[in-house]
Amino acid sequence: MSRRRISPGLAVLATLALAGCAPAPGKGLFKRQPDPTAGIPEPTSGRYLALQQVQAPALQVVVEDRSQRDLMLFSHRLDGVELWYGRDGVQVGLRDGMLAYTRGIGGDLMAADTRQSHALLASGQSGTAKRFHSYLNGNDQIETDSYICDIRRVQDFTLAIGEARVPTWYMVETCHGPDLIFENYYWVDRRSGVIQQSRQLANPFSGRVAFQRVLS
Amino acid sequence: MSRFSGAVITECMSSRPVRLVCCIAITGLIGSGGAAQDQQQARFTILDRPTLTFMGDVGLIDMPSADSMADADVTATAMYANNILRTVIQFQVTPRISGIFRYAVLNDFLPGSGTLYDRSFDIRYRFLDETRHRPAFAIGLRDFGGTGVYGSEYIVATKGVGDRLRVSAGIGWGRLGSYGGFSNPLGILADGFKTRATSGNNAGELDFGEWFRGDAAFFGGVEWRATDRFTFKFEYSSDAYDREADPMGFTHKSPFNAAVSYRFDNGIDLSAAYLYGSEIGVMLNYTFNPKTPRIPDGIDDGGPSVVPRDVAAARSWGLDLSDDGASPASRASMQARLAQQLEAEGVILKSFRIEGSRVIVHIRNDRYDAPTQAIGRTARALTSVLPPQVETFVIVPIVASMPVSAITIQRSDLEELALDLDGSWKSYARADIAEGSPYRLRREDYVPGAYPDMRARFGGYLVPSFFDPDSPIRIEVGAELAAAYTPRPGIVFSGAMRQPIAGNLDDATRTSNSVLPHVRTDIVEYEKESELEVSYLTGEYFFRPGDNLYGRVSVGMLERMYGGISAEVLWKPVEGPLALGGEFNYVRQRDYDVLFDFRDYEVATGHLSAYYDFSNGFLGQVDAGRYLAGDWGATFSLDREFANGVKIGGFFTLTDVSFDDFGEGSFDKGFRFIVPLSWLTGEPSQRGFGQTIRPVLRDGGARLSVRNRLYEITRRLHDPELKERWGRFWR
Repeated sequence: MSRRRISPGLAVLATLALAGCAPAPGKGLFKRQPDPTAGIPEPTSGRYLALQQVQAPALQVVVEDRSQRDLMLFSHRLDGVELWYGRDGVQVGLRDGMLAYTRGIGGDLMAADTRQSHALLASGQSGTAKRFHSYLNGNDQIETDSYICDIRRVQDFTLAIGEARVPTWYMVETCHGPDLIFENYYWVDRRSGVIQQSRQLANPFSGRVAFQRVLS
Repeated sequence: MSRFSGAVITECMSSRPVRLVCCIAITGLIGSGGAAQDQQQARFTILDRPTLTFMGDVGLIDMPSADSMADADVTATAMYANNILRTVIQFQVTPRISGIFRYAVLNDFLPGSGTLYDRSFDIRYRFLDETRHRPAFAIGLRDFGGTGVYGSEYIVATKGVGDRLRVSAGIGWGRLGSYGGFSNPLGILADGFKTRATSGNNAGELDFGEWFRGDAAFFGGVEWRATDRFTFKFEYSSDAYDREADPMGFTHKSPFNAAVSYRFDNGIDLSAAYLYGSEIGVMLNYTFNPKTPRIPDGIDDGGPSVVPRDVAAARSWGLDLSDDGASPASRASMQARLAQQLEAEGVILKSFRIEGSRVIVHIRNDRYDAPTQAIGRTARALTSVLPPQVETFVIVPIVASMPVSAITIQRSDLEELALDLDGSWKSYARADIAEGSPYRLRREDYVPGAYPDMRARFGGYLVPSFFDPDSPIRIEVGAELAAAYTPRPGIVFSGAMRQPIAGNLDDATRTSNSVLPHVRTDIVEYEKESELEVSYLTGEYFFRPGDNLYGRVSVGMLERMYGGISAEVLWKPVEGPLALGGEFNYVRQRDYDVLFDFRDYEVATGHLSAYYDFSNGFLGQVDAGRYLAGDWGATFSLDREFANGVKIGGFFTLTDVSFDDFGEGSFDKGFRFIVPLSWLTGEPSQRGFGQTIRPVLRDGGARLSVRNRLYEITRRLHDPELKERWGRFWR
């Protein structure tokens, strides 16, 4: 994954994604790329190279606003969170498929508590959940924001991941915070409750990041 | 003529000169918009931010209002109308107090078609906030310490009517009482208020004797925010423009002015006005806030992550769990892997010692503006290198080889808090921040190649100079080579050479008319006679004489204009607001060629200093002592420093030199700012741009500009600075 492009002043935003109709579940960010590593620069992170050598599990990642893509590699698990490394040393952390941590994408998500949302998603239930995000702001201060989220199971959907066909629930989470409204989208494996694909807000600055597991 | 001090303020003896190139390349990307940008346009609505007057303060067209910018907003203004050009910097110092520096060029103002170059300072205080039934009130002084061209005082009230209309009314004195004036109502307090000296107080003298004196007049107007983009303003002005109208050949036909402003999303406002019934004026404002750089936390890789001590994780990191680090070979191997990891983070490992379950490392941060980021990355890197039984990390950041503080972190806290929602504050609370002097560097703990240490940097420099009437902006750019050699801890030999490549600093012709020794005012001679110059060439010794004490001795070419010896001692506890210091220098003025010769002016100069950190972002400093011209006095400074390193402040110096002997400006004063390069580009960097802007540079109250004063190089590694930037510990 590549680093943050610069865009004008931020701090507060009114709306990131207006709540409304969820996009069709098949509008995939991963479909257009037959070769997931095409056009991505060579790795510079020593850790990434080491993980490549041991053929660590991979995760396709797209920072949507910038159309920046990477095949991130699984490094290790810390306190229940999977840490994935990008080729330039950028990291994301997923707790049960929910984004809990970013480092190096700009306006980083320092930590997140998404347990309530995950409980609903993993069981395919609609409902309301609270989630909490900590960001590092431009004045080196941590800002913790709370969001109230409506989670809806929109439809069943057969997700194509490579050659595999995975039966999923397509679920939408609409969150309202003090100065931000955003939507996250999840494709939850109906058999296991595992989030196989998702589009989640990383932070107000970098916007949404899309993830898809690479099935081995 | 006045002149900035040097452009590049923070020494970065990094062996990675390419970083600047990276920064420029990244800056080039500014403006390549994205979807996120489109969704963020609500940021600068006209309702959030007031518009400015053609004088550069918040208000109507020429008349002020009681509104304020957002806390810490900085606005740069350029306006032109009827042969007058003004450039203005406004800073919202606190939510209620704003300050202004204004540089005005008034063509044909002086007899014989002479141009007046006028520098002025304003200050405003909003003493009552707006409520549902009451307007906001502010009191202000325009040009309170300059030549008096804009000298005026006012009290103004502003009230919103509905969402889009704001109405202001006020009473003004001085210029703001010059049209439609009436006898000063303050005259009932004392007769002296009824008269005001017409003009021409000594430039720069704080002329409070004339404030709020003479005739007063009412002014007022309305501001209608028609849309989020357009604001229309209409005012009745109490400024008669008596002083400009006649010599500059324009007519004041009407007290009514009208203006329109258009607001862009990027902080720019454009305005046009119809003034005095006869003139057109145009103005551009650019507003930004130091608290919000373009990239909230910068662009940089993720750094090391915390590696927990369980076997699976350890294996993938190549950690041998049977290795307890006791043998010299395993210690060397850990040390080498740690040094390599840290070097990738721009952190230089100087010493490494394992004592049972505790590790002590000395590090030098060569990359990050925020020391907490270097400390955090070091702590996380340690988790991937050390055997499980090492639980306590003592990280000792060094500056000039002095251990400045010792930060003790428990490894289990790192493991527990890395993903905690409140991990930043909790990890600060659990870290122990202690005095560094018990952790002196020990030869047996050095990592290979720690000393001697050689660093060099080649790069560019830029020196601007302002306010020379012949050319209000001058600039010089060139190449700079700097190197530092540290044969053993605490001893540093360093030097820098500069070769100008282009610029017009040396075209200046104004020669000094100072009656004092020309300790600074021969600047033009230095510019003209120097070519390849030795900016400094020193031997320095840094040491810790005891707990909370720091010492420095510097010998050589201390700065561009002076060489000699400088000795300093500083008392500064690792936490607490107060620090005290003393400095003694015996120096000789360097020759104009800025090489190895001296002139015959010698002086003993030095100061006792008190530093106070108010913990709310404000830093105060008093330096009392003897200045370069042999004058005795004191300098008072107040700076506002943001956690991200941006600093804006002002200072003044009063000495036993009389205002007459001092010359234009009466006493030394000015303002200064520092902007870290990382704030501008988002790239981690220890460099930055700093400027000290004096309306006039004279010889009274001039202080030696020796490098590496102890307070500045140590305080960032102490509390409260570490606390303020602890958010970066996990970055």
